Amino acid sequence: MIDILVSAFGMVVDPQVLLTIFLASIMGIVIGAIPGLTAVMGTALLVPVTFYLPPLPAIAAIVSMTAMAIFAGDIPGGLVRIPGTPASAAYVGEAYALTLKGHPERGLGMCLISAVVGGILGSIVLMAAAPQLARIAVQFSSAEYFWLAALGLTSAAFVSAGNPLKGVISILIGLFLSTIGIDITAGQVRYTFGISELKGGLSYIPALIGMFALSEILRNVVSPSLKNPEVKPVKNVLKGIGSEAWKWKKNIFRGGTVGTLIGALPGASADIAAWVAYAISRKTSKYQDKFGHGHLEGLAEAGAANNGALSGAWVPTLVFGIPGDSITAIVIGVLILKGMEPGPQIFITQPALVYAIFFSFFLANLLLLPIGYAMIRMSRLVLRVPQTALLPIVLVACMVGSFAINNTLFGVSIMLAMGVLGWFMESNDFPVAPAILGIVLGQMVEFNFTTAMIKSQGDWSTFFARPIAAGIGAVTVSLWMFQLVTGVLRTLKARKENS
Amino acid sequence: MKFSDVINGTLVMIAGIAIFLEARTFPAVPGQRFGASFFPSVVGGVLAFAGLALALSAVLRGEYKPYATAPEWIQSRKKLFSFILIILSVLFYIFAVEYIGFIVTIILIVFGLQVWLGAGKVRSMLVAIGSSLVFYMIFSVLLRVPLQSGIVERFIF
Repeated sequence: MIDILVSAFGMVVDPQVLLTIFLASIMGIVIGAIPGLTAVMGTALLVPVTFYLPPLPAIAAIVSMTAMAIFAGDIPGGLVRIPGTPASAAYVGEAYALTLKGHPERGLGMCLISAVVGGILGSIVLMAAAPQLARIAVQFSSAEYFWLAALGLTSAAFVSAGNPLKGVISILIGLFLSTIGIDITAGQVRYTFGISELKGGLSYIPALIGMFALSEILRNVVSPSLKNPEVKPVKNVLKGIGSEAWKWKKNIFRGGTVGTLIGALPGASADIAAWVAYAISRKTSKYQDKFGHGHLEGLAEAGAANNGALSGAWVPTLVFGIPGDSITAIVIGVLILKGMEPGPQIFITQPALVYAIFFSFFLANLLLLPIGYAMIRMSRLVLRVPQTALLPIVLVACMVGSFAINNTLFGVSIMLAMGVLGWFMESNDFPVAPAILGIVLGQMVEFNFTTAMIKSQGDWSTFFARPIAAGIGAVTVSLWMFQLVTGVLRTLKARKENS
Repeated sequence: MKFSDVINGTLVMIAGIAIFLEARTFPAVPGQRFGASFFPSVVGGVLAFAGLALALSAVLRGEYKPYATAPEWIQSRKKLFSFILIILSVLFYIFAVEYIGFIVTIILIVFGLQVWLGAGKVRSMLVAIGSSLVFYMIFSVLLRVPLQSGIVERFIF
């Protein structure tokens, strides 16, 4: 074990890796601080670059980019009440109230400290839990994997806010898109509409860039105002923040833990973690009436939760190959490209690399302190970058990125089509993240289902023949039943009230 | 464009049925019950059912009108054209880049979009030239992506 840790540490302190982490951090902190550019979008746009890097720097770049971006989203949230990423939306009102009182530095300072602590807590949980879970997961067969993927998809559909039926439809759209191309079991060509480029399947990265980045540009370009808000400089960011953080240490700790657990749930990402943590701190607080008027308690808890969730999402990703959120959905694609098929096997075949990835989490979250501090000080500059220049440049990044994956212009066409689809779905309240999970997990669901069926010669009971499979299966099926029944009841109730 | 869930559900249902029917045409592997058509049939079938449920629940709740709502920005001709211009820019890139090369294509797109969105011409040109060169340096020179070259690329690099 010790020698694995030593060689993992050696891998991380390699100058190339450190430089990549540093550059990706700068990219992340800027992307997060600019409203309209999100951590997921940054990940999608970073992938074409990581494509050309060795495995560790590629993964470490994504880890540090996202850790920075999720914190940086708090900065415009606190200063101008516009969350830089959706993960900050839960508590922008609280942070902005402090700015109105003339103390933006107190809110942002607390967000920074809690983000660092929350991120480190999440990393500890990841490092402790993932290898243990992997030990159990080694014994899983296709029946267990089928149910795990089904449970992941189920949770993604029902966790996403709004109408759960729309979440289900979104997942099915993703599953359908995953069937495009030559199928893995029989070699049959499916749904290519005569386009030969589609035979290899729908190229995954251009689809992601379209759904997360192009659709965002389409939304932003018609947004009410393209003008930049006025921001005053922020001073004395870390003054007295240590004692404040100590005062709310319980909240930070609980927020980080709750956030990590929520992050590990497929489909529930950093933004949901922040909402839940903020609600918990409010409900259990002795000062409930102070909430919403610039009270630090909720900020401490929710600020820790979203950064914790980021690390938590990697637990199911690395152990089962089931992404915990949209960012790790993209990560799975990168892992596969880099020859690290996610699943319990990588803990046995490439333990040093796995631990090196864990170390990069700690490094990124520690680095958040100085880089986050510098960003708060420079926030005025970044918030002055004009949207009119930003949108065209991000558009170019989308086009170059989707070209660079396969070096074909067909990738750009896919990006455009998926971007318009994503924009249409969002405009009609269909969440996009479940569709991405569907695209990622589609092959896994189909492959494990078919394998299990072929092995059992068509005997359906194989899905409940082993205890773990039966357990996960029972949970999944009862979730479906529960949603079905409550959905029907809700509709009937609404009908009664109408008539 | 926001449609009523009756429309959305019906669209989803039609798509589901189409996926299902297409899946039924995939040949089966002899001696194997679960071939290429099974999974897409399930996806198509459930999709059709979910679409039906969405449309039906909207009707039952009495929330099916108006059938379509145009977003506010469509009223503004400028915003509508901004939206279309983003899509046209991507299409322009796809069709033009092979002929005029990466750098010129990007300069045209970035310059045109900025001016349309209301930025000054000089600044827009500087940003356009700067960003096209930076992207070219990162992707073509550093990462060795074979970006299309035109006259400018051959002249400079």
